[in-house]
Amino acid sequence: MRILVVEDEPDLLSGIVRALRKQGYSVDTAPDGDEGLFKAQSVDYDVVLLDVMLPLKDGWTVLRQLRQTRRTPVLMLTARDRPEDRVRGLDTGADDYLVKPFDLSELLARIRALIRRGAGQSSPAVEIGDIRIDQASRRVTRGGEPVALTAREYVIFEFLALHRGRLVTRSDLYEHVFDETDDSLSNLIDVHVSNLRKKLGHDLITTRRGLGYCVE
Amino acid sequence: MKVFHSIRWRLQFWYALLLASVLAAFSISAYEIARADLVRSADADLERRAGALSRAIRNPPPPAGAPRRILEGLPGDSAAARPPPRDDLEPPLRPPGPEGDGQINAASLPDRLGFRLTPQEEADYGAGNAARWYYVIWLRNGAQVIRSPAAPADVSRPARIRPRFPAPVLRSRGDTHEAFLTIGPGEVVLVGHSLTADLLHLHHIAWLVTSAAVLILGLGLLGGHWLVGRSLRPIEEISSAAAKIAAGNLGERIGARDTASELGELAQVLDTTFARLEASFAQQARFTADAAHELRTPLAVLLTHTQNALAVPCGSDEHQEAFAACQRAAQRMRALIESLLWLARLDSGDQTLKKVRFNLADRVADCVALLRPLAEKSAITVRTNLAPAECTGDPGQIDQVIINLLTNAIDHNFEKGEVRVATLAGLNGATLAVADNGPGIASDHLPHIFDRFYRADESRSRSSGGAGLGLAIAKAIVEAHGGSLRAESEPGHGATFTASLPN
Repeated sequence: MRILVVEDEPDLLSGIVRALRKQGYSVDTAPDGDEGLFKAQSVDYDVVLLDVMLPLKDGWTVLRQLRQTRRTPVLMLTARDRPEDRVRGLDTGADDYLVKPFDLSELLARIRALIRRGAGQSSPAVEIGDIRIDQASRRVTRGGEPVALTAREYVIFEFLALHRGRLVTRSDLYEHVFDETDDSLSNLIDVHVSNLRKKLGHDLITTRRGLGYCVE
Repeated sequence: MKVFHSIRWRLQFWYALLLASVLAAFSISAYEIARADLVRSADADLERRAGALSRAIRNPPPPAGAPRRILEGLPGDSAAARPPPRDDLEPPLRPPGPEGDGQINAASLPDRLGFRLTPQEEADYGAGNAARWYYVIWLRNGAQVIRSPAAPADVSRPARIRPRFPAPVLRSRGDTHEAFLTIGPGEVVLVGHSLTADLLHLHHIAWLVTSAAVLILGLGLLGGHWLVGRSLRPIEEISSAAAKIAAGNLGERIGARDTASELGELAQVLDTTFARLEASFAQQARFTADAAHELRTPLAVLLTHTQNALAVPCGSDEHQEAFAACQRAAQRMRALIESLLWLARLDSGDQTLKKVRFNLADRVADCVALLRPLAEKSAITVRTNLAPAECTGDPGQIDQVIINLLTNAIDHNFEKGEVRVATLAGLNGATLAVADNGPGIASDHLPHIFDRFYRADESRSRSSGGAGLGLAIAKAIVEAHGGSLRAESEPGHGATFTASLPN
């Protein structure tokens, strides 16, 4: 899952980025509205965290201009919480609204909910055969037994599971699983998928040669 | 009664009193002047007539044309008194001298009854209604009395007066004024006139004047009412604007049109004051809101980093404890900032309150369920007695009131204490009562417990107690809804908070 954080306060940005990376998300950052809009328009993020008070271009403008081309889920972060502000945010096309200061646990829960909704799924648990993904605790069980996955393995498997029955291309995976700071080798995804097959069963993820992967 | 203490009514009363006194004084003095003038001119007329009559008697004019003997047809005329022929008439009487009249024999007096009257005088002294004057003449020591037809029967001969000059003497009997002139010993000429008819006429005029005065008073009062109303209108405008401002609408202004008058100037001064008041209120509310917002971002940094650090056990126990302490402090600051923002919003009055009808008992039941874990931490029993109670307001804000009151009751209670919560439907709305059996509030703290940042119990640590804003917020919310929040306490027997919410 790839997330863009647009926030001008460097300390807050670094805190959020660290928390998100710890959860296995790939995180891109932007310190102002212009760069934020450019990145959000060029990459298909799973969630954009957008601060309202931004230099160069405020959060409302970024959101409005982004909505002209993309339907990326946007979570607004703001220090203003008058009901009018919330209404305005949601009317402009924000998917959720979080007032500073927030608890990290709440921020992460809202991001999970947005990712789920973005994939057209409302339940926090995905079941494929005897394999169950609990998105809240980010754990995968097989036949009731927990399966130990690395953070990146989990993210790849979650992305494939959320797009179950659909073809997920390698570039999709690159876009959603790795961030701009990752200097990854092109076969890294194949390594992760191969590890997932070992842990979860060989028939779970099928390879469409030359195209990508699919979870049936 | 309040209405009679109003400036309008007092002004009107004094104005009416003043106008009535002025009119009465004017009318009374006009009446008195007219009456005095009437009497004076009547008296002057009497003196003139008495003089003329006495001169006519003393100095009968020589016969000319067809002289008329007045006395011929007069009552009291007798054969004995029949005047002698004209040529027998005596020369004029000498003026009454100091030698007195006692020595003069009546018989020796000349007959001087021949005198003439002008036609006008004849009409004046004649018989009938036209006669406004009368005369009585006593001659020969009163032996002979000549009366004009209109003379009353009870006219007495005046006592003898010996004036230094032969000037007429005045006397009055009731409304009848008389002038007499002593023309010789025992000889008096008296002319009288009754003022009754003139006085009646004067009274008639006085009534007319009184009616006119009453009419003028009425018109004056109407005019005064209009004038007072007109001059008091700016005061009414000022007071209604001030009342609206007192009710919380700080944007209200008097906006006086007539700025040149004294009240217009006052209105302008007040408007300026109101504007400054509003500006300072707005400034304070904006400052609090801005400060709270500016504090939010650094607080978010603090929370994010401490929670990141605490999420994964790393570093020494000392580091972990330091992060935990930072996080607790950050959470308290966060609660404080939220409280300040609540109050700033309630103060600025720009918050739009929702108007929803809801059952207070349902909200209380939800809030009690929410806070039960907090109560169980201190083994406090929460007892509820919730009767359905409909009220109107913003349910979210009322939740805040309920939670603040419940938290307060739980926090300021003994271990294993009890909190009783009751709702009741009243005539004008709903009542919420939250009672605890904790240590209660000392009577000198009771009036201040709704003050901001006020702590009744200084011994409680800052971390265990709140910031001292919970009750202030609860009161501000309840009052913004048009309700009231009261506290009662008997030290040692707990405290009861009662919130009344309108229907």
